[in-house]
Amino acid sequence: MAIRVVTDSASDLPADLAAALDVTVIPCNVVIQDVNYKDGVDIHPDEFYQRLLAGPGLPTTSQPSVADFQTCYQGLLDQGHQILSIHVSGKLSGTMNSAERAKEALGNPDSIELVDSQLASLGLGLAVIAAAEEAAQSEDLPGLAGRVRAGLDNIRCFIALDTLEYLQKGGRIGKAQAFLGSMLSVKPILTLQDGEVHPVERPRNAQRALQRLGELAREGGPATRMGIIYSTDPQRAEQLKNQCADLAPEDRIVDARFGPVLGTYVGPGAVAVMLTQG
Amino acid sequence: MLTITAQQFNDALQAGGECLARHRDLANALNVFPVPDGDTGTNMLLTFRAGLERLASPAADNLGTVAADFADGLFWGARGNSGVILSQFFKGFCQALEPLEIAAVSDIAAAFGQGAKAAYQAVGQPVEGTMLSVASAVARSAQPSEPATEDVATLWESAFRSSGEALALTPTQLPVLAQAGVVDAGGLGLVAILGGMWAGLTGQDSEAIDREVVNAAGGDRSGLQTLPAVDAAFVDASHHEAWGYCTQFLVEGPGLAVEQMRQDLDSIGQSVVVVGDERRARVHLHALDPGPALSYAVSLGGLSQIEIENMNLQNQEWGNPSATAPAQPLTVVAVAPGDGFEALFREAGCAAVIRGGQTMNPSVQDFVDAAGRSRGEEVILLPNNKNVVVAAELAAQGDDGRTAISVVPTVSVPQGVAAVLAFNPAESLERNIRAMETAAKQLSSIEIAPAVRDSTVGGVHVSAGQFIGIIDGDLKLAANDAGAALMESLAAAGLSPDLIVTLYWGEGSSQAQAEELAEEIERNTPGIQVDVIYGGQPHSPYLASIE
Repeated sequence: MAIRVVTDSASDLPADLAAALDVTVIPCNVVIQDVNYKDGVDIHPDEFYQRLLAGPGLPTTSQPSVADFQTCYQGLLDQGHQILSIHVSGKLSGTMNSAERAKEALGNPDSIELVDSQLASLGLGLAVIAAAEEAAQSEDLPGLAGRVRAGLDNIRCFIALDTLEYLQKGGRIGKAQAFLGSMLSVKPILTLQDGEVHPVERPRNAQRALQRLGELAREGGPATRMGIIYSTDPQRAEQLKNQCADLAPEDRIVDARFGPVLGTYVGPGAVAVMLTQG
Repeated sequence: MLTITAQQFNDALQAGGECLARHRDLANALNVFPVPDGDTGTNMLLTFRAGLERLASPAADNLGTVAADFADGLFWGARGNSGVILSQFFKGFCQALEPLEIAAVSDIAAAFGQGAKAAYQAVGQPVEGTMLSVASAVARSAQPSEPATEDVATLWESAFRSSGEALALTPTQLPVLAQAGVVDAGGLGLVAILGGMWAGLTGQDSEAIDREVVNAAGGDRSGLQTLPAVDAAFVDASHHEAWGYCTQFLVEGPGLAVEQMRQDLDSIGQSVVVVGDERRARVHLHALDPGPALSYAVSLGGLSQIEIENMNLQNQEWGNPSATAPAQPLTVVAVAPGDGFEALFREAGCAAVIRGGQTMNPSVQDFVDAAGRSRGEEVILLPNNKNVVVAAELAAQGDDGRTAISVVPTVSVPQGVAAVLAFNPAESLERNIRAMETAAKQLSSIEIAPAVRDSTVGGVHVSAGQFIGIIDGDLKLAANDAGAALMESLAAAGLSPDLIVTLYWGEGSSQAQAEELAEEIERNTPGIQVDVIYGGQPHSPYLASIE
């Protein structure tokens, strides 16, 4: 029985790449002024960021429903596939919870393995890509799930924000709380650790933040795969990519954009590098 | 006088403190930089008094007990470089006396030797032409190998005379003193203490001794400071009853009657201190309602630098810290010289802030207390002034065992800001110390201050009324107004489009003036980032960093 990989839209996996890898992406929900949109289906980044900046109010997000997962899983099982379902950190989102309920509703079959990536965005995306490549050549679901879990520790994420405002108002600031403050303009650099947002550094402007992102990425040595991702400023992503380009083979660098779900928390001006190292 | 007893030593120490108090202003005025922030005399006096306050009354029977108590009080009360060196001198001195019930000449001579040795050990790189040279002259004069006398009073007299001679020589040893035309302020403090103690031992006329002290200092210069300075009276006053609101502000005249203000304010609040002249007066008082004092003062002139602190809250917070904050694995404590900096440091992640700095050096005890208030299991101290670093380091050595204290030896407030921005509570102590030290070193610090007398320092001629520019601790230039001094200092330090300038304005400037200068900097160097922040620092219209 072939293995198919399922993830959610908080992976920020580019749609063409997901399609090429046979990965099913279940959309999370974004609510803007009382209207619910399915991430990447009903709303795309350009429109989302326009509306984010225009206001009034901030968007909110919600996980895919249990029914969304159940429908997806049932469809894949009916086609005779096994399922490896890898999702955004359970400490940041209820998505894992929906997946678990759906699996239970289907009678907890051995043919479905769930993985809490403890990651988000392209960090999760990198884990999904690696899993999908291997899934194409494997039928050993527990073995693959084990290797995916073991590989999560090798994925590192460094993200520079223009402001912590969105993360704070969205209730996902975690330990980066320590970096709040408005008297000095800083561009905080954050990472994900144990499934939560962690503070790293506070450079004084965007230019230095970019430079530090490059240096932090380099500290982990060469990468087997790397992702560069931004919310609204492609030039920052370009500049970051130029700094890090030698860290991974060109065909293993993923360019992506924070989708509406992640965009709700990182806000405009965000840029990040995510790497599989070691 | 073949020996001294506990009582005699106790009385001599009291007399030493009184003599130091009489020469405090003189020591404050012996400032190498001609700016109105000299505080060596104040630091030494507060340090010495912390020792005196520890002495039992009536005096202990045992000389060793008096010595041990005094040295301990001095250690915890040490503030400023001079205070720390003084406390170490007496620590060595008193250690030699600790095993004794009474002391003979040979014991005192040995104690002088140990005192000088301890004082040298207190500083990383001993510099001659300072209090250390005075201490070593005292030790040499009393060498036990040459027992010229068996009389304690004679030995002490020769120690005092030698200290005065060594003091007069300090400008020949340290070029900055010669340029500024002053003797070393800390050395003067030690001479005054030794003179006072001699008078205390022998019962002689203190006026004659005062004359000798002033002569050794090259004459009376204590009138040199013309601007009102926050002085020890504030510190003393603010340590007493703590209720209501601690209220401080600056009134600008013309035509202020300082003595009348003092009397009027006495009927409004407590712990009233008014310093200044008919143009400007700084006021401190405690009142249940800060309103009447402000209303009174605004009838006399313009008010600025208004600072009101709720002491009841402070007491709650300090008296019962567990009620306000949970224990943290790692916290940072910073010294902040103004309300703006205090807010900045707190917002940037300091769990406790000590008000002070250039003009009010915190004591070792202040650091230990603040470390406790910060509720950290491990605590990093940011002294933010080169004169405060040693007290912080002593607090780290002598910490009480409940908290592990470390120091990132920041020597300027902008360095402290960079260091606290590099602090990450999610990281280990070691990584934080490395990151904070690196961040502090990556910037240049600039200080602009008014000159209160003519002087030549490091080849720069300064006239009273000008503003001097100090770059990374060196006086580099003087200009006729504060803005020009800032612009010239920035130019001297070197500006380029990829840099960030942070401009902290304080006493003598305003947000509007600072923003105007920021625009000028941005015009001159397109692309550069200039951030303007209110620091509230006394005496200095601008502090700045370039990074």
